[in-house]
Amino acid sequence: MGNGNYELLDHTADVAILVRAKSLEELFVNTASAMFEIVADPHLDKQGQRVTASVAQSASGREELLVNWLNELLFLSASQEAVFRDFKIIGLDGSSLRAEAFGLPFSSCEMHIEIKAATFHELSISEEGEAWQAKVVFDV
Amino acid sequence: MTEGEIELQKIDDCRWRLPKSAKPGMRVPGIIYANEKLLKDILQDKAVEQVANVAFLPGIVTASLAMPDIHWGYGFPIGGVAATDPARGGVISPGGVGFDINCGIRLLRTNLSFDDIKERQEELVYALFSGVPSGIGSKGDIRISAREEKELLVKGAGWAVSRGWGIEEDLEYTEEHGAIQGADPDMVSERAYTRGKAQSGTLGSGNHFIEVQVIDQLYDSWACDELELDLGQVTIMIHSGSRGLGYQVCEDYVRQMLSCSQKYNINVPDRQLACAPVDSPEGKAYLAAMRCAANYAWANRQCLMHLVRLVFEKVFRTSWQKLGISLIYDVAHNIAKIEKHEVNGELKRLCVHRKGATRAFAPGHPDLPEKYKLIGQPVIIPGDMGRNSYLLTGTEKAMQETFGTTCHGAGRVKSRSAAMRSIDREILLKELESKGIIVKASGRGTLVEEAPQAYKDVNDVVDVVHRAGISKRVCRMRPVGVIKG
Repeated sequence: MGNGNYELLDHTADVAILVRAKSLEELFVNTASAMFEIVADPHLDKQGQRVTASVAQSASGREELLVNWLNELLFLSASQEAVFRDFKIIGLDGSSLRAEAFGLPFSSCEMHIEIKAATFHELSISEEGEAWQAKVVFDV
Repeated sequence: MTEGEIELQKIDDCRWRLPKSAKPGMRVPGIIYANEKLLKDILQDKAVEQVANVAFLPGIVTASLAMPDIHWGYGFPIGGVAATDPARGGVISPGGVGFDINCGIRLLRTNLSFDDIKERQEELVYALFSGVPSGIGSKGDIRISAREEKELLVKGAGWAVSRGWGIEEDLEYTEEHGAIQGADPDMVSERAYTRGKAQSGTLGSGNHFIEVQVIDQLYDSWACDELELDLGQVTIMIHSGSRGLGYQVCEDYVRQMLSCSQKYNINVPDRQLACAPVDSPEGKAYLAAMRCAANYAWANRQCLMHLVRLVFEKVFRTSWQKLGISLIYDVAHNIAKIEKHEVNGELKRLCVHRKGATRAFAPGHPDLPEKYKLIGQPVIIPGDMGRNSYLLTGTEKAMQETFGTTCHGAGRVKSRSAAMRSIDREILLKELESKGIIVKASGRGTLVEEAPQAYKDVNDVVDVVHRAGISKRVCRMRPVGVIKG
């Protein structure tokens, strides 16, 4: 299941995903894409005004940074009433991130389910050469 | 009975002990309320390990408890209960409450019988669906200023009543009178205000619902008389929480408390259990903000009840007063509260975390409304949309064993992705229709993800809490109309 970059893992109450990428930047992008794919699909016949948001986050490590990134996007999604589809990482190291997110208003999407937050439960990021992987559990 | 390396010891047919030795670092044992059948489901996921993890919390007293609807959550298991003693370094953990602070449920009685609604079942469900905003991003008609928003966070359901959305009597039958004391709006971030804006009076998504039901079984006729309930009578259940405001409060404080583990030398095995001493500045700030979110949820359910009353007025062309739509009770499922309980013969001030668990105070408890002093606190247990729901009452045994707590619902057994893989939406709708249940859902995935097959049988869950004596069956309801977020 998923867009090829992620798969849904079984979790009794919530939604857990395993995301793959070729770099840390791509991992952050793919995880955000996966999260919003779970939330909604764009209506192909109904394109609204494109929404843009800037994100700047810092954390004590890359896993915490990933959760902060996802939760910031959920906050922006709720406050700007938009579903983000594309992401541009401007700067990323192990403890800080700057990025831009582009999306569509809720009215241009078919909404599936609300994600309340990304959690720290069973959170992991691993790398083996160019193969990056992240596991995230969302509260839905 | 084992789950991987963890061994559970059978205490009796309804109770299992997870010994302190199960995981090094546990401060108290775990106690799981379940029968053999439910335990098999419980052992399928990581819920038992989470019971062990909760037992690491500093200052935890007696045991890390789990109700029979326990299932794998994040941090705490859903169905988990933990009380900590602030006088002994007891902590408060936002993960022990969850993102949907004061997700809870209210039950309304009507003077309608099934015969009065059976010809209009469909009309009623569609009217509820269009009359109550639901789903992600849904907005209500309630627009308030920043100053009034702060008032709402302090006054809770009372704020809605002061606007004419309900009556004083509604507050009498809401836990904490619909407003827990000690809420400080200054402890709520601007981001949380922004996220909760325009969401008062909206149902939300996921497992939130409004259900029209009919009482199909009485167990305690004396309690039913006291509660003015009878066979065939129509009841209405409303399940919702604190929406975006609550999610943001939780996120803000989990983030803040991650740094507390070093400051207060706290060692917990899951970062989602991040916590701080109850009486520390961080603990006090979270408690004050969490109470704001809890009050927001009570205001929200009060607004939802008002909208439900208006829909019934429209469909039945008479006032809600004439339809007898009154509140039986409203209880929180996700909350941390400072309460007094007896521990080893000593009355203690404790911080009781209920994560997917319901307060179930015994008859005579001073916090109960006068009307329920003899029967005990009404406890509302929703099932899934295809099976029964229950009304129970609290007991003295719950006060002795579970800090006055019982289960909160059926409890999931199947993941959302497994439900999506194995359940066909159209077949499900037909099955429900053949049982006389009409369903309308906002989200495309919600209906299938919330299908009866994804849940344990609530009848088993209620059987355990009744037989264990931590609550008492009063009556059972069957669904006839459901709207889902």
